[in-house]
Amino acid sequence: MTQEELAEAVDVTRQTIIALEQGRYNPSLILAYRVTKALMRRYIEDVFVLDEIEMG
Amino acid sequence: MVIAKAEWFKRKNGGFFSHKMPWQGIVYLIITVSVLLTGILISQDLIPNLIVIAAFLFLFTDAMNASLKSMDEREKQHYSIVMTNTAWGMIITMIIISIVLSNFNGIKANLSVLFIITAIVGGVISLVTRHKLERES
Repeated sequence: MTQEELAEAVDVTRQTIIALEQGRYNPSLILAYRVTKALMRRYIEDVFVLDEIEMG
Repeated sequence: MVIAKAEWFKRKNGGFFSHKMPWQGIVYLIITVSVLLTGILISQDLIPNLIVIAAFLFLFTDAMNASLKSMDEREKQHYSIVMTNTAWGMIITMIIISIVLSNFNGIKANLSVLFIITAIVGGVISLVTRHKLERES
């Protein structure tokens, strides 16, 4: 799946997908869920990894 | 959104220099600006001018509303930061210039200077903030 296709599937811009991929933007729970569904993964943790440092 | 639709203002790629807006959005914006320009050029009377200003404000608000609806969550976050910075910048600029003008020539005589400088400062702050945000996230 291309960035363009994923962006269209989850209704965001390609720029937002790029920012997500590069870890420069933390998505809302709804967007994370949509991306997970669009990528046909079962759990959000399969796509997004929470950085221990970010948790504080 | 009364006339304009969110899809008309949805930019394809997003980003700082991306303006790939659908043609409907461009046409809508051209019509909105044309209404204002036509009103200014055609009539100097109060009533027609008021009608034109009301029509412009209606179209402009409608376009802004549709444009906001077309943004994704990241763009909305950026937009709110840009607007906050711009508003604070403009308020501070207005206060400083008002103080300076009141000490020298008076605000009334140079009201246009006050508005022009404030608008320029607002525009610069908006551009710089957007550029910085796009680079960072």
